[in-house]
Amino acid sequence: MTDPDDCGCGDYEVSRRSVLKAAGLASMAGVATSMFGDVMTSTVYGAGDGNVLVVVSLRGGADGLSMVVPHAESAYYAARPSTAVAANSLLFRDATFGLHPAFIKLSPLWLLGQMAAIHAVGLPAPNRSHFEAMELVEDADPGSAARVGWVNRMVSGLAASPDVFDGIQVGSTLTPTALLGPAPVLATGQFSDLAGPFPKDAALRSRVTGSLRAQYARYGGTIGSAGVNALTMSERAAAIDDTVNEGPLAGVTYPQYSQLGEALKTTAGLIRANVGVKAVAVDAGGWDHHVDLQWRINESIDELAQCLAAFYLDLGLSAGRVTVVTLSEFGRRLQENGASGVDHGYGNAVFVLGGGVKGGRYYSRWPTLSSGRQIDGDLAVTTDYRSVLTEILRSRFPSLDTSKVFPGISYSPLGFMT
Amino acid sequence: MTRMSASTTPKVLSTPNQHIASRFSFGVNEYLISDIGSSRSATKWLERQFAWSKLGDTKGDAVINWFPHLRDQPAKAWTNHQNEDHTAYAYGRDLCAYTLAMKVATRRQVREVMADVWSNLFYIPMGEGRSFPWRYSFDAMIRSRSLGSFRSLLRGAVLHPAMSGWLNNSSNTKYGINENLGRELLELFTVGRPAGYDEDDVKNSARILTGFRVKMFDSFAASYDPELHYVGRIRVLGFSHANSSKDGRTAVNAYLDYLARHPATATRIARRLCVRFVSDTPSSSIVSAVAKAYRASDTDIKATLRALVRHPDFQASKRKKVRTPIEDVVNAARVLGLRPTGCSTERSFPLHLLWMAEGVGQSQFGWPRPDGFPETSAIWASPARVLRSWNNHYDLAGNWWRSAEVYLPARKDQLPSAWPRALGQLVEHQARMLLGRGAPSDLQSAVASALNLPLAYEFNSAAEVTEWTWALIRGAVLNLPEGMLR
Repeated sequence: MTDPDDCGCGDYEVSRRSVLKAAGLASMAGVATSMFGDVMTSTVYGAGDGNVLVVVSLRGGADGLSMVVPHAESAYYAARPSTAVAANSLLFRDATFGLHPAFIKLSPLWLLGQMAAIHAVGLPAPNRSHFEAMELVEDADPGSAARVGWVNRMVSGLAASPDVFDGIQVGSTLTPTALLGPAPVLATGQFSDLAGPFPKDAALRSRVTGSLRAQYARYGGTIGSAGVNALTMSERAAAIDDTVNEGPLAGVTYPQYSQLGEALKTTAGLIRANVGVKAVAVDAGGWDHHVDLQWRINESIDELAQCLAAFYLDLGLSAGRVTVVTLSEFGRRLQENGASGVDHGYGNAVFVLGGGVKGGRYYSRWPTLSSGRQIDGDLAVTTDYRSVLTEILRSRFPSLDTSKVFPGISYSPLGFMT
Repeated sequence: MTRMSASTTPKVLSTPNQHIASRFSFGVNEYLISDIGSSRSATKWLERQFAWSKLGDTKGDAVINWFPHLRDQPAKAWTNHQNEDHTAYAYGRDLCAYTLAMKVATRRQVREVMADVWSNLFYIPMGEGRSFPWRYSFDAMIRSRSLGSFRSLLRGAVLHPAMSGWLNNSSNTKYGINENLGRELLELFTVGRPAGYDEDDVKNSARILTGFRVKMFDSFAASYDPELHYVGRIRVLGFSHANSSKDGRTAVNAYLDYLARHPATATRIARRLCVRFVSDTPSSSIVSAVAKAYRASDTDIKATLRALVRHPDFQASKRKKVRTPIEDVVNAARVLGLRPTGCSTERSFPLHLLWMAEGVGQSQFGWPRPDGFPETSAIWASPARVLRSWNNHYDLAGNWWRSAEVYLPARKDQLPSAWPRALGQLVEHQARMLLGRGAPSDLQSAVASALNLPLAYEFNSAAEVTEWTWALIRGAVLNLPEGMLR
C-alpha cells in the first residue's frame, strides 16, 4: 500500500522534517506555553480563513441510480421490478432526473443552490471489485509506483511545509489510501483522547514526552516519525478539543447513534477551531446493498442527508469556506438480483455541497440507459471522477497545481462550480 | 520451571530464535522461552507447535468455558437474540473476548497466529445478523484447519453456513443469482484480480455455488437443496465442468480444489503470508519460493511456512513490522505476565483488552468489509495510534484499569532475587524480560528522568520497588520504538 518498511529510507525527507520541527519545539521547551501558542497562532494565520475540502466516502459502492433516479428511462423501471423508486415520489424532478425522497432533509441546501448532483461519474474503466476500485478512487494516480494519495498531493501542493493537521481522517485511526504519502497525516476518532501520557501532571508529562521525542527521533523510519508527530499532535489536540467539545452549535442535532454524525460533528468543531485544516476525509460505510435495496438504501440516504444537513448548520459562519464531495468506489448493476438487491456495477452519482457550488440542479453528460449505451449491462461513465475533483480544487484552491494532484487526466469541466 | 526473572540479567533468546518466536507468537514470554529452551531451537519449537494436538494446553482449553453461549445451537442463538436474552451483539462480543483471551493464554501460539491469519482472509465481522448464530462454529473450523491444507480450509470456509449468510450465498439460487460470494471467492479468497477473470467468470462462479441454504432469521438450519442448484456447463478461467447433476456439490468441490491449486492462488497466498510474517513489501524471490512450496506440497500450510522461515529474507526482516493494536495489547499482556482467568463481568480482563485495542483503532472482528484488516503494517503507524498505544502500555503495566479476572504475578516474583539492585540494573532486567534484548542507553536515561532518580539509586528489596516505580519502568520499556515493532 505504501512504503511499509521500517528502515526509513523511503521517507527520509519526512523524518528529517519532522525531527527538525521537533527539535525546534524542544529548544523552546522552557517556555512551553508561548511555544504552544506560537504554533497555534501561526497555523491560524496561515490558513484560518482558508477553504476546506471534505470528502465523504460512501464505502461499499452506493447505488447512484437510486439516489439520482433517471425517471424518464423505461429501462430503469424494466430492470428493477421490485426496487425502482417511483417517479412521483422523487424530489426536484427535471426532465431526466429526480432525487430519492429520503434526501428531504437536504432540500433547503438544494433550494438555496448549494447542492448539486452529478451523474455518470466513475473510474475511466470499469472495475467491480470493491477493494481495487476504492484504492483507485482514493489514490487517483493509477500506474504510479509511488502510491501517493491524492489528498496528500493536494496538501503538499498547498503548503510549503505541510503540517500534521492539514489532512485529517475522522472516524477511524486507520490511515486511508487517499491520505498516505510524504505529508504528515493524522487519523483519529476524536480529539479528547489524544492527550499524551500523564496529561494531569505537567512536570512528569514533560519529562516523559521529552524522552519519547528523543527516542523516536533517534530511531527514525515510519515508527520514528509517527512517534514524533504524535507528540506534536498531542500538544495541540487539547486546545482543539476544547473548541470541538463546545459543539454542536445551538439548535443543531445530528442523528442519534450515527457514526457518520459523530465524525461530522467532530469535523465541524475542528473547522470552526481555525487550526489550519485544508482537507478532511470522512468514512461512511454500509452502502453495499446486495440484498433488500429498497429499505436499506432508504435508511442509508436518510442518515446521510440528516448528517450533512446538520453539518452545514453546525459549521456556522465557517460554512461558506467548506465544500463537501461524496465519492463511492462504483455504482451498482442496473438489473436487480434475485434478493431484491443490486450487485456491483459501474457509473455512479456524485454530490457536491457547500462553498462555491452552483447547485439546485443536475449535471451530466448523460449516456442514457439504452442498451447500446450500457457497459456490460450497466450505466456508462462519461465523466472521470478526477475531473469532478479537479473542478472543485481549481475553484476552491486556485493556487494549487491540479496537474500534480491528478497527473495525466483529461479535464472536462461540467461547470458546477463558480 | 525456574523463574527466569529471578536472575539479575535474565537470559534472552539468540536473535534468530527471538525473531522466529516474535513473528509466530503473540508475545515472547518466559513460558514460551522455556518451551523453546526444551526444543533447543526456535525451528524445532515451530515443528512442535505445528503438531499442536500433541501439545498439552490446559490454560487455552479453559477459555471456551468462560463463554457458554458460544456453543449454543444456531436455532437457540436466534431465539436468544429475538428474546433479547443474548443478542447478536452479545454473541459477537463473546467471540471477540474469547479470541483475545485465547491469544494471550494458549500455549498453541502458532496455531493461534495462523487462526488469526486465516480469520482475516476468510473474514466475517462480529455480531453480523446473517452469520452470528454460526460464527463460533466457523471460528472453530478455521482453528482446527489452520495448519492443515489450504484446500481443506477453503472448502470449510466457503461452504460454511456463516459465510453463506454473510456473503448472501443463502439467497443465491438458480432463480436469482446473487454474485456476492462467487465474486469474493475469486477476488479475495483465491486467485485475485490479476488472474484476469471476467464478468462471465464471476457469474459462473456464483452459479456453481447455488443450492446451499440457510433458514435465515428462522431456525438458521443449513441444508443443500438440489432443486435450487443451477445445472449446466460452468467455465471459470481454465476450469470447466458439465455440472449436469442436480446435486452440485461434487462440482463445487472440484471447482474449489481447482482454485486452491491455481498458480495465481499460490502466489496470492504466498504474498499474503510474506506480508504478515516478513515485510510489507516482500521480495519476489521469497514470494516465489513460498508459492513454489505451496504448490509442491499440494497446498500444505506447514510446508509453505517452512519455506518462508528458511528464506534469508525472513531473518533479514527483524523489527520491520509495526504491531497492530490488537497484537500490541496482547503482546503487552503476555510479556507483563498478565493472564485472563475468566470473563463474567464488564470489568473482566478479556473485555478490557478488547476496549483497549478498540481505542487504538482496531476492534477484534470489527472491520466492516469482507477484505479483512490490512495486513500491511505502515497503515498502523499513524500518530494517533502511537499516542494511544503509549497510554495503553502504562495502563497495562500498572493495571490502572483495575481489571477483574486477571492473574497478576506478585511484584517480588517478577523481580530479581538478589538485592540491592540499582535502578539501571532493574531497567536492564525489564528490557530483557519485556523486549528480549538489552536496554538501549536512552531507555536508561528516560526511566531515570521519569522517576527523577539517578540510575545508581539502589533499591534494597523488592518491597522498595513501589507499584508506581514498577509501572513507570515497564511502561517506558514497552513505549520504546523497539517495543512497537515485531
